[in-house]
Amino acid sequence: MQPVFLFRHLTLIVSLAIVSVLALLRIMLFEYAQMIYFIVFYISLGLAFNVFLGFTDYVCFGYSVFIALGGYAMAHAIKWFAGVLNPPLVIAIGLLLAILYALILALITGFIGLRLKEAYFAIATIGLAQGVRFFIEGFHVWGGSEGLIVASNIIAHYGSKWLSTISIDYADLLMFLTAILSILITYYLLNSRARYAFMAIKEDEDVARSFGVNSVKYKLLAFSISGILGALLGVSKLLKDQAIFPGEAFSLTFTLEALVITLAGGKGTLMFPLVLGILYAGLKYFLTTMFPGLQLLIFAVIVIVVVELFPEGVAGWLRRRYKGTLIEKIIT
Amino acid sequence: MEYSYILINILSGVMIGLLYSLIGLSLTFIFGVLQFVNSAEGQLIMIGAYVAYWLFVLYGLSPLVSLLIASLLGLVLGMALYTTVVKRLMGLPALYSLSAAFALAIFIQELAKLLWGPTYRGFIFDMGSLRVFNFYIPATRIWGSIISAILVFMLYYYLYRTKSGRVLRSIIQNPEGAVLTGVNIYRYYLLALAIGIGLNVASGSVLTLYVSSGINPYMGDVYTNLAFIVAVLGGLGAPEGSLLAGLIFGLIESLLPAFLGNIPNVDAYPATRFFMFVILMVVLLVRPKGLMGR
Amino acid sequence: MNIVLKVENVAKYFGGIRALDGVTLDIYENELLAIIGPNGAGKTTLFNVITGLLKPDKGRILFFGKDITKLPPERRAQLGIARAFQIPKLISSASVIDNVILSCLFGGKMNLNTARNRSLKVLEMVGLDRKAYETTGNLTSPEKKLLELARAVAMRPRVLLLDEIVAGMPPVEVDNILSLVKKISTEEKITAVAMVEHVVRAVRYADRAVFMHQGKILLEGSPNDLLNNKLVRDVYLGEIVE
Repeated sequence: MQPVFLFRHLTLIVSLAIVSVLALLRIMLFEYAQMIYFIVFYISLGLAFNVFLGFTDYVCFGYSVFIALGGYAMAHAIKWFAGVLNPPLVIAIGLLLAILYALILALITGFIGLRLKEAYFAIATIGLAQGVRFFIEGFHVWGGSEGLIVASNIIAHYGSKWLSTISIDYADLLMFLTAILSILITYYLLNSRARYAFMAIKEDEDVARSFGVNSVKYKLLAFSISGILGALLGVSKLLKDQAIFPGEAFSLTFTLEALVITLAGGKGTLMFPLVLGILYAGLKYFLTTMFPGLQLLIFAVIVIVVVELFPEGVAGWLRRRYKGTLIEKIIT
Repeated sequence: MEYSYILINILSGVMIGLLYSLIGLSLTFIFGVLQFVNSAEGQLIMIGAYVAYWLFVLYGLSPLVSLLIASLLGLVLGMALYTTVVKRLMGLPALYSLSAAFALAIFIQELAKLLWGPTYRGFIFDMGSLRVFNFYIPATRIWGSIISAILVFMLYYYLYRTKSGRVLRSIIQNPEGAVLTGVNIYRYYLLALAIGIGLNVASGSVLTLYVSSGINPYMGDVYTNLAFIVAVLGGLGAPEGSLLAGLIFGLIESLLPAFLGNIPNVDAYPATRFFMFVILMVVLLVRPKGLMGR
Repeated sequence: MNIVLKVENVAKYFGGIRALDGVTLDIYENELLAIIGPNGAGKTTLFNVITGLLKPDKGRILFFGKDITKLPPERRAQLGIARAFQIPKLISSASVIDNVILSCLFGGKMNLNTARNRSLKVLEMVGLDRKAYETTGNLTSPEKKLLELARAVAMRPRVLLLDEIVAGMPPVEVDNILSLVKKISTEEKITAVAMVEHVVRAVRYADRAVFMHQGKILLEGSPNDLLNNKLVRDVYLGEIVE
């Protein structure tokens, strides 16, 4: 068997190991639960965003729309079914709704946007998050501009003990599961025939089509999966925050953060967005305590610097440094 | 509905539409020559608005003068942007320049917040008003429309009647071919970005002739989205389309809220912005080339 | 004889330019057809319309009698229309064999194992098997042309469109690659259509030749007849090199 194939397993094992260590720390050191959640959130964000960016070289600037849809889906499940069904079932329904909402939006937006070039898609998606937000606020659906608060529903139907169980244990568990799912999906896409399709599409879409690749199908696939993973992130976030407000849920900040993580790490790889997610969480925490109000400015500068000087990120830098050696082949 | 009310809205729509044409023109012109999507357009408009604000508040300068300074600032910024950021990104996959522009927008926004604080600013600059039927149109708005129209036609004149303008048009029409003609293409890229950003920042000052309040670091997003819609509607990369697209859009934006406000349980402002987004999607679905695109 | 590909009165306009002005062409099974014509005659546009990268303004394309004019490029590739591009757009960061496997998986609709085996076999046919696991970016120009040929052939096409396969090559290379093309097309039972601008040597390998100029097909016949034709020689104005 081709040696490179074996090495791709290595990054999977390392990635899963890192998440397992974090899970272990979460269980053993309860006082760090918040921080660990924070870290796993950014790991998941990076990996989920990378599924689309890394495999198609398209950027979904309104990515927060998926995270928001996930949050709203879970809020709907709670509002509609709390008291009727037990909490785990309600959460399960919330998850299914999140997948449904994300899939519908991804297919509609993808159908309109992915048949076009990257510039048009970028324009469409920059307006996307705001577009959905203005629909909610303008037509007073889904709570309108006041948003939705679910804490009261949970306390009313299940008691305050369930509230802390959900917002601490269930939220954290779901975030870990989202991270693991993102790892597995990325790994699968890197090791199936899809990998060839994506490579070809990124190189030249017309040529890829001339050799039989249904480029729109693969772009839609990556976009939908990325969107669904984002929605799962949003589900966990809603369970943690117990509320969702359109003013902040649809902000473009998540996109900037995801760009830092995936571009600086190395888009299209498995391990590097993950590691960068951890580093990013640390950096963000540091900046928030030491230089509050400057984070976005600094992150924006980081993106520009990375794009200009290190477009392939840490992964690319490592590949070039160890060019020709075995190590180069492990960088995935 | 009174006829004069509708007519006033139409007039209003045309007047703001001229500004929108200018805003869309900047984006589409820059994209046409450099294949660069200026996602920071709204933020640069914000800078132009602040320029008008500060020059008025500190030196009593009218926005009509400030816009000249804003244009110069824009020209310089455009050149600086080209040499530092844009130049290296040309020829690379689109995602890099798209990400850079996006990050730049946030950078400018946060920098403005750092320098001038998040508070809303405004100033009052009164040039009297013109009476039309039972309504009063501020003279500043009339000036704003005239200046927007002048700037738009100045660019058109430049593109169609001057030698360097024609070179720029040939680059727009044939990006790959233009490199082969032996002309120093980098000079033209630099020129185009300078002119484009010049118009961009200037339009921020012109904006204050229409609305001189609500100036804050986060005001840019609306205008970026607006620029996108007008540019795509007119044809992304086709400057000829901006005038018509801007006017159409100005009219829609003027007439729609009155319509939507009548529907119960609907907030006219966010609903209008939602429809703006829908229009963008519909254009991308049905005719992505826009009105005059190739 | 079976008509593999039928181009029926195809027209394509770009603004005021008539890139294709009513082109009708029948391509017969197992023949090696040469399309000659000066720069701008419409040869690349014709290929683009046949493969589906461009939609014709008028006319149809029939593949074994089936109307494929509305099919997207990937479907046409899967049906068996392959194209080797003039400037090979290979995935330079991937290995040589990966580029071939790609075409087997999608154009050839094979599974991963079959694709690997087929790719190795085809690389052997063109003489690149030793470099199968090299990075594509490191190949020389002629090697890249061979790889481009390999991946087009690997997907088991019925028709192979060769886009200026010998442009800029010294005569020895031209002979090598064209005898290879002829050998492979015969072995694999592929109908080959080669589009060439200048090289006479190339045309002599063909069974039949067609002369295009200003978006129209003006002449058709055996390669020798065409090369000796007055109109052809006039258009080329002495540029014909032996």
